[in-house]
Amino acid sequence: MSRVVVTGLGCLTPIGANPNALWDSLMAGKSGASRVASFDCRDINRNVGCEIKTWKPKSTASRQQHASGNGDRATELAFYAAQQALTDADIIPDDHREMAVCVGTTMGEAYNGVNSRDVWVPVGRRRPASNSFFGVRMNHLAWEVAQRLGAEGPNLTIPTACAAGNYAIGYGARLITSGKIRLAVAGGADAFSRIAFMGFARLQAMSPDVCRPFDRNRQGLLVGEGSAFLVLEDEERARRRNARIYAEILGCGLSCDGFHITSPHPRGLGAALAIKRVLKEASLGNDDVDYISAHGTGTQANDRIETIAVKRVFGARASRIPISSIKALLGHAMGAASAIEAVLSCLTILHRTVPPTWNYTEPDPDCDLDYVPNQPRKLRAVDVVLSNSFAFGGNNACLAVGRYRNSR
Amino acid sequence: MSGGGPLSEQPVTSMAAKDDAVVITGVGCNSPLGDTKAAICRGLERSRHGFRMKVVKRNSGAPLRRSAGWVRCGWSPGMPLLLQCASRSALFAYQAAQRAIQDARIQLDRGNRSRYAVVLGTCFGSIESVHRFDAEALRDGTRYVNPLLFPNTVINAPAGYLAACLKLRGANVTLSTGLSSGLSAVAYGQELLQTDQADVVLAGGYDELSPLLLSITSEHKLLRPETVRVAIPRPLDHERKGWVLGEGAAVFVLERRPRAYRRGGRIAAEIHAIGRRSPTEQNANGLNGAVEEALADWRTQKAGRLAVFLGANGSQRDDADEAMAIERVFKESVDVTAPKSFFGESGGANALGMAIATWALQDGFIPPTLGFRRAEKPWQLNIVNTFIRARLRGVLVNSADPWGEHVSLLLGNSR
Repeated sequence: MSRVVVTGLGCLTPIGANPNALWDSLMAGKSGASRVASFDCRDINRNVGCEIKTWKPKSTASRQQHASGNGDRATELAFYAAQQALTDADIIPDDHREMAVCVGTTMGEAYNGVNSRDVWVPVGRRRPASNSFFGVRMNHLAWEVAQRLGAEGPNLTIPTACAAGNYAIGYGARLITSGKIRLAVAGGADAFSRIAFMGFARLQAMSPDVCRPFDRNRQGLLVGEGSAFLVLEDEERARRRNARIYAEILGCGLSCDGFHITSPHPRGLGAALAIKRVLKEASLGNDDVDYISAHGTGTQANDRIETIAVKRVFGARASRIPISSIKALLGHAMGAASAIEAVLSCLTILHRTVPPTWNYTEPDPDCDLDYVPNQPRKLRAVDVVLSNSFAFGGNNACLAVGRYRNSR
Repeated sequence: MSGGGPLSEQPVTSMAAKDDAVVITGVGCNSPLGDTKAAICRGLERSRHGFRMKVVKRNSGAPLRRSAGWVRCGWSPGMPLLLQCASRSALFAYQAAQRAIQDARIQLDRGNRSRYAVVLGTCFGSIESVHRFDAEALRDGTRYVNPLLFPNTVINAPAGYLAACLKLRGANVTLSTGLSSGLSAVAYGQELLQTDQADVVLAGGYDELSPLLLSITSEHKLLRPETVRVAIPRPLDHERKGWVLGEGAAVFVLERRPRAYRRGGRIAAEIHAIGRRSPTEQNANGLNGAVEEALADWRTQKAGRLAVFLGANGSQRDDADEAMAIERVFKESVDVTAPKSFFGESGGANALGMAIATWALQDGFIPPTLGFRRAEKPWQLNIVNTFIRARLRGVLVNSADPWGEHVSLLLGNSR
């Protein structure tokens, strides 16, 4: 079986339009939360979100450049980060042909189509917008990115809600280990959406001001947006071309709560199973894990259950593993969240520094692990990172990223 | 995944060990033709399609008259309470999965539910639920929209509901590759089994129809034009004029052969090979590549009579492209048919086609291409237009989606 290495990183987030800018913002505690600007939320009892405000899609340019070009905001977010990752990996366009494209998302363009165009609601518009057909196709993100990049390998969109980025990266890696392909660009993208904002507000899962993961006074998540992609490559291929290798994908554990559509399993069985599976797949022991990038949305239930799941797997060692959530600054970028966290996992290994959980002020007796509060932590070594993601539908995916060590 | 590295000493999983082949041990459907094998096969044999004419409202409020393959389905007291607020997609998927499990004679309470995975494919996902949620919010105000409807707007809700109802804790995946989604889900399920991530996979595809979907596809001139009588799509026929949409689901129980034998399961068919290609501007032959990949082993074995179940849906261009691709690959006349002529196009339609292919292998028949009279070109294909009895060794189930993925899946008789 081939080893899968990460040779390129790309991202677009409310606090950084590339991995280095994102890292610097996270270290400095720069928040992406602000008053929502892309729609009127007077009628919703929340008005804070994490939008990307300094970037506009270059859709006109891309329509001239490429044969297709039916992308809306989520597609443009995805394309931007995927292209950035490929540039970072120094993959030439001629090599795009053999590449697979795997994109995780919560809603693709479906929410955004409603957001920006009022296509599907009877507000006087007689005809659908010209790209509405692509908005109703759930695979559009991966297909459009593959078209623009000229990728002829498998292209699939994996809409497994908030865990989708990890699913996509895990699947891309698996295509490589199985020998079906040697190169993949995999990640996630989701655009800021009125419907997601409204939905979380109605579920009373959204914070009125800031997101405080694992804090006693946490009041919920903040809806965000963004995209992140990793270039995954067969080790031999990467070594042959002397590529810079950020890290290695050690495995991806998938599971389901099999319990409820929105609530996590009260004993964290599904989440713990995903963590156990990735440890088994990557042949890791409990002592091998140096840092856990938490799902940590800032909701009462999620943070409590994630703590239970980590303790269930790691036992007494759980309290000695640094665990933190970057959603305090970024908000919850839905399908992109775990892909952004995968990029951060690679950077954590690179910098040997754990990003903190910002906005953490008061410990919660139900959340009693080491959440790295408010200060980055330099470690002697960060060799293995687990990145948790737990989603609607009970979908759980845990990714293991490791320091690359040359086996020769 | 880190084979060879210091952290990984995993055994290598053979991807092509034939004794370890992935087999189908259960099939469940929910289709415009019916929801049992008997009803669907009766429809195929009597050339009875599942389309109905319905008048729906466009966005503007104007009526839209379209024939489509609607399925009667709704929550009933015998179903889990969890599904009471679920979308029709979730109901389709649940019902089809239940039937597949019954067909496979699996006792869920006995097995290890954490090794049962779910992989579902969809093309149009939760569009109707998004529309309903947003319309209700705009009508009643965002403070009053029913929060129970919000989960349905998330695309993976049907797979999540299915796992929650059956308490399945294995991998739970929703994916979309456009109109090929059902077959792509089967391919994903096969990979889960081959890499030992699951013992049993419920894999398949689903989609639900809605006035919104009809309206959008109609505006984009993808559908057959309005007619007075019920219209059928007539794939491959020289007078085809576009898609007729359908809905429903098909779910398969997939297992590795040794496990199926061990538990005394009946093997309906074996998945021989799957070919997948992404169609791009530069890659006009993407479909050829997928078909070649699926047929690679078959050709060396020269293993007997094969039929091709096309993904053809009545589209002017795509049907011709697919027919030409098959012609180029086979270079000799082969029996082809287009099952979508009976139930229409959707993200689950190819999975429905695969269900029929499984039964065709079991019972020895090739269903007709409904409405086919004459092709516009003399393709070197034997386009079957009457129900015929034939002992088949294999069926190639094809799905060509220029806006998605080309998938070719070769099913064979179980040994």
